[in-house]
Amino acid sequence: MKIIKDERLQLQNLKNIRIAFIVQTIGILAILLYETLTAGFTQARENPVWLVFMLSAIVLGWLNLRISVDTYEDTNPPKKQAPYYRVVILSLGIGIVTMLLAILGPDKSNFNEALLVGAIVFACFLATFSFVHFLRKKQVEDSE
Amino acid sequence: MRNNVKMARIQSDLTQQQLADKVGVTRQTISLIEKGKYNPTLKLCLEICYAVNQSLDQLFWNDQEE
Repeated sequence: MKIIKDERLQLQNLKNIRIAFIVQTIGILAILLYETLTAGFTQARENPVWLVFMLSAIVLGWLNLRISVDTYEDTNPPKKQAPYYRVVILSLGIGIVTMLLAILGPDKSNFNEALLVGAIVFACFLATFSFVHFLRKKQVEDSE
Repeated sequence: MRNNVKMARIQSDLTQQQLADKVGVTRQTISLIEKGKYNPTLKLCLEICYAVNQSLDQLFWNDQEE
């Protein structure tokens, strides 16, 4: 049997996958809603399905960042980009502030816990800021 | 979208199936293109042009409707 590479069918396939994704998401939301109503929100969040839902939402959000367009016309010439180490320092600062908050704040965490929290926050901010940094860089390169 | 794929295919003495095999799609897709119910990619348009030895202009050009 020959493999068909029909573009119309590939497109149709993608549309079908989209519908399946919608159905799946509705199902996941229904499960989570049911858990929330019967056992409470904390219980629902412990369900691994919640993780799957959040993960797919994050992946979708990140992928959509690539297809977004500028909503406003930039009349000023694009500002010169800050070097990458500034992004790292900014993320590090946010991580340290979070760490201090964990130690001094109402949680009264010990040092190891605070370090963990600070490291996670640092990693999250670094990843997001880096992504934006490289998006901007690409935009500047494209406009040249 | 109107096009001249059907005319060109008949002039080249091809059936829908033969044209489909040449450009690597299904017969249904060719049928839908001829009826103007499917908007083919530029790549597929070019494949069709090569298969019937005509230019993009001849097959797909429509004057802009004012």
